[in-house]
Amino acid sequence: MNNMNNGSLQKYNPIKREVLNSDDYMRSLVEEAYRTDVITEEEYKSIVASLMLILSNEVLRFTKGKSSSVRTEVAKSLLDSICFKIGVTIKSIPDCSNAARMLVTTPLTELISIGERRINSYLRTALSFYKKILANRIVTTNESYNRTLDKEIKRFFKRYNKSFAAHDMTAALDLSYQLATPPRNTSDGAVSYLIRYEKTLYWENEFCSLFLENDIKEILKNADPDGESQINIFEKVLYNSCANALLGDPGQLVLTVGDIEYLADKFDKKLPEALLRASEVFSPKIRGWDEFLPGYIKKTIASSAGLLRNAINNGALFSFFTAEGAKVEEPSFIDSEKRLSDEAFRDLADEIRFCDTIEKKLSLFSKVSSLSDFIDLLESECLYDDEYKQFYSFLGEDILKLLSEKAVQLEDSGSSSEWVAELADFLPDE
Amino acid sequence: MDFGFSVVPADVFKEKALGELLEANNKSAEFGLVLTREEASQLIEVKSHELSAAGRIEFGSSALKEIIEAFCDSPYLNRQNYTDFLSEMLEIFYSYKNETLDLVSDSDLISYMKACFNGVCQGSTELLKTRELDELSRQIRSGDISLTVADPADEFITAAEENEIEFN
Repeated sequence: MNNMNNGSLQKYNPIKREVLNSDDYMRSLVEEAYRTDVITEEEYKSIVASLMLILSNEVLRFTKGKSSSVRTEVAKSLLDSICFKIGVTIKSIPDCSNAARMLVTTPLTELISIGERRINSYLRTALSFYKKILANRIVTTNESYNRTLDKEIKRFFKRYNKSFAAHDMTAALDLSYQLATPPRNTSDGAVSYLIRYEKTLYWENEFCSLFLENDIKEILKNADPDGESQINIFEKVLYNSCANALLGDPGQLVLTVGDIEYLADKFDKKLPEALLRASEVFSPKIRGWDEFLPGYIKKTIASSAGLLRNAINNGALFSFFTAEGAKVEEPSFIDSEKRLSDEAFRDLADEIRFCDTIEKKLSLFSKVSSLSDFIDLLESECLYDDEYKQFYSFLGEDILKLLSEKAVQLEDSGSSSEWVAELADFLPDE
Repeated sequence: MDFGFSVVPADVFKEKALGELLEANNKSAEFGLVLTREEASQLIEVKSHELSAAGRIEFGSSALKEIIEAFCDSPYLNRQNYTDFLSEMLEIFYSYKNETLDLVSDSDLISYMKACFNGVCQGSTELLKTRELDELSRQIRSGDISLTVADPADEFITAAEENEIEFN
């Protein structure tokens, strides 16, 4: 049957790819082909019987012929692996009806062999990309970045069981470093996902390689002082480099607090678009720029455009850009008994109230070494309106946790404070 | 029609299994033990039930044939208790395949069962289960002993090696 479409004749295809389960492509294709009469009941049964025969051989191979039976979940996993390999082969056939007919006309063992060869080819590609990202890696102390490059990807190649668990993505692939915009987790399997991950990381590294190692270290010093943060290095470099480009100094990464305030004033809500335009300045410097980076940078900036605008509204742009001197020295509360005298406390509270920037207030807060003084300062209305959220955004998890516990105690005792309400607003719902 | 794995019967080779059991009569007949076609068919039903109860699935040659060939010369078997014995052996065998974490091959487990049954258990399937096989399972799980294995973990390691990825 043919349909008219845009003036041209198109073959009617009873199987729509969009109704197929991409996670279980082969089986859903067979079911749909049977439902839509693309294959007959006899052909359907023949496919199932062939699969069972293949499975029985696979079980023997799996147990090295030493066990005639396996646990059902093992058999299921082996069958999933077989179907995945067939799926890898037939997924590339655009016409789903043709793909379904192929299951009838071509021996399944042949389709499995093609799938296996393709998976091998993917593995070689993944290995080649791995070597490329090792070559252009960023020199950093960030643990998750180094762990992913030095251990986790390597471990994947050792753990991935292409013979008996080709479909199993989660068992083998565990990457802790978060990309700025992670690839979609499609059902093409672990190796395909790894290739997309590596390709993205390669281009992230390429972009970062435009800048001096020391400059990258400098901007990460504040965002990731101990190397343990779950940050994306490219994102930090991207925002700071584009901001510098807007300031007319591409090639630089380091920003000052004044730079950020200037950008917020000048571009206001249009800052995301301005950053995106500014990124173009780097295009001549990267070979193959058009291949990947324009779209990726656009996606990265677009995905955080809303947050960026909110940050502008709240005066919390420092969460996006890393600026010299913007980091507050967090109180350590090592000596929780060491409280300020009443007079010293009053002076400090007055000083904080009269500070004109949140950064200065943060610096003064860091002078107290007791949690009680810290809470008392919050109770003393040293912060105003949006300053609370900016303030909290600079605090580490440990301090926020202490404050949360204190806030719960205060709420339980029936007292209410602005800082408690603002903290509840700031922290994500559990 | 459902194309799920769950619809695959526990024993997809029923006819083949029946043929195998009747073939095993050739050896067991020497000891006066012969299964009729009906008895063989009933044992295949029992096997399907026990496989399902143990959460297992069987392909290829049946372990039942191997059990028959191993035990048919036992002094504790006779025509009267033969089919009941085989039914019980099926339950024990698949159950202890699980209990021994699939680390023991079919042949090794059957040999061990036979040695215990004819030896220290003096024909008691109860002692075979509750004493000998329980102890074997305990020792395997605790890593106290290792036997000839059909270890899935080994397979995975082999498969990883087959990936032929060398870094050093």
